[in-house]
Amino acid sequence: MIGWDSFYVFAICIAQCILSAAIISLFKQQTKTIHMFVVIIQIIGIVILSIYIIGLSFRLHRLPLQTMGEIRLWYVFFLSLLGLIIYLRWRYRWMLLFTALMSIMFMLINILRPEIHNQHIMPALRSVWFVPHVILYMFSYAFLACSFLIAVAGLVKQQSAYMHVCDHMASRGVALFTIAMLLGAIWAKEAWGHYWTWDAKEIWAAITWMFYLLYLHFRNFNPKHYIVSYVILLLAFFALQMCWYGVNIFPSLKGSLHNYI
Amino acid sequence: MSFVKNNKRYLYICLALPIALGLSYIEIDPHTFGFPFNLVLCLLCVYVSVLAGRLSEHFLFFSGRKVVGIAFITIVILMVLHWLFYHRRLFFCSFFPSVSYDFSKSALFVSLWMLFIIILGAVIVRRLTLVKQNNKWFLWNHMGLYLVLLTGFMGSTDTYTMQTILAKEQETNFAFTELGEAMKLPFHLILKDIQIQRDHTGLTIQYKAMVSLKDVQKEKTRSVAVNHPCRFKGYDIYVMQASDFGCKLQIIYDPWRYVILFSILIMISGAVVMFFKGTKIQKQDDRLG
Repeated sequence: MIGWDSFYVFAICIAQCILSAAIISLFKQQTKTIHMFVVIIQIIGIVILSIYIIGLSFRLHRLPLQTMGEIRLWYVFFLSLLGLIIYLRWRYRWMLLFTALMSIMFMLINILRPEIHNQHIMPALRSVWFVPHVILYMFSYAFLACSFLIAVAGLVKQQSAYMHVCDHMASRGVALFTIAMLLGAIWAKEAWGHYWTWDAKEIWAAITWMFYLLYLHFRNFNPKHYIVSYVILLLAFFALQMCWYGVNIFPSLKGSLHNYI
Repeated sequence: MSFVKNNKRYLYICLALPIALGLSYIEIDPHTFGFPFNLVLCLLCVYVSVLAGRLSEHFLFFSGRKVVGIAFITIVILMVLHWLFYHRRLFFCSFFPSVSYDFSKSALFVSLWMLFIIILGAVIVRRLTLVKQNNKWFLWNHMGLYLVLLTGFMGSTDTYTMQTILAKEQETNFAFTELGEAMKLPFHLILKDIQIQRDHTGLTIQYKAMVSLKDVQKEKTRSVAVNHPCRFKGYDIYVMQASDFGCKLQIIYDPWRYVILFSILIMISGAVVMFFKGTKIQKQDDRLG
């Protein structure tokens, strides 16, 4: 019978599949066979995880969506699945490594801290919006962090050659950030009755969003001013850090609706 | 005179700062613009947007890149300012207004919000009339944001948030606003039962209130839980806190709920497309904002 006591066996198999896929996807020579092989072993990893989730659902007689441990299973599932979709669509080779490392981290937490299997999440977080909201933010942070690193490289080398990749990453990151933020607004309406309440976290999310939109618009109007564009990206990433964990250091978050973080 | 001419930009800033500070201290009750005033204001905004969009060829203020730049920088400054107000205790206490002050209700916030809506509207009109190609998703995304901002503002003027505390079997048809004002509800609320689910440590993991809703025509018993509000006669009922003896209910009257939701869905669909298609640097002729 599938349960938490057998999770480590599944976790090892899943980790092996997704890490192998990630490492092979980093090979310089990407033939069609290698590409297919990466996709197949990534799918095998996802299928093993799906079998575990289905088995756990039968054991618990409900969908595993109530404890932090159970929520992390969905994190791993959607990270691996979206990572694969993005890899298939754009062939970002680093994406599978990012999703594999994040997934392995979540599975390790589940193995090393068995007490969280029974630790229930607070009532407000018990929502269908929770997992997509968090997962989309994670992916947007990954894209935006990538654009930041490329911007730093561009600024250090004083070259405009990196601009195209920055645009590509930032536009994808902003799109995911927008979707995550708006899903959060719909969820907030469901949970608390208001789409937007201007609490510390929301204010910084809006600041971050505006900074990235400023970047996209600035690039549109001033495509040759690449140094300013890089600087805007750096500032936007600073705003993102404030939004992600920076606000947690301020006492006003205690009164915020986001103080469970 | 030449000094004034040469430093016109800085003089504008010097003039704008005290005005902005003054406006930030004026608090506006959003319900002042409740229906039908919000509808009039909305139509006025759309009209000014259309006018500004058409005049943008002649007036520099409403032209392309400058407008977008000004709008974004204003909004970012506004947000930072708002955030400073949020953390005012950490900064210069005497400089900021009282603790109960809400920056999002200040005249400065409201006027800049309106200005942003007008500018965004002007950008859409300009794009709609002058650029014939590569328009579809640009317009879709900007229209989504425009609708969200406009309906969000209009919604806030007509929305009433009330709370009431009920003990088991207690009945009421009154609830209280944030300012402590009692408001009569068009139905009676009776708290029938509370179900609290606790884990092995005694920590509350879920709670549900069984509420009977009664008006002259019908009576219904509904359950209200976190993330599962119930809707009755246009009012949304949320359970905020619960104990074994009673609970705190929040009642929200939000007639714009679905309009705002529709606007949000437009924005989400635009973002999904943007994710797959990305943004392209436009050709010189298309760079009208």
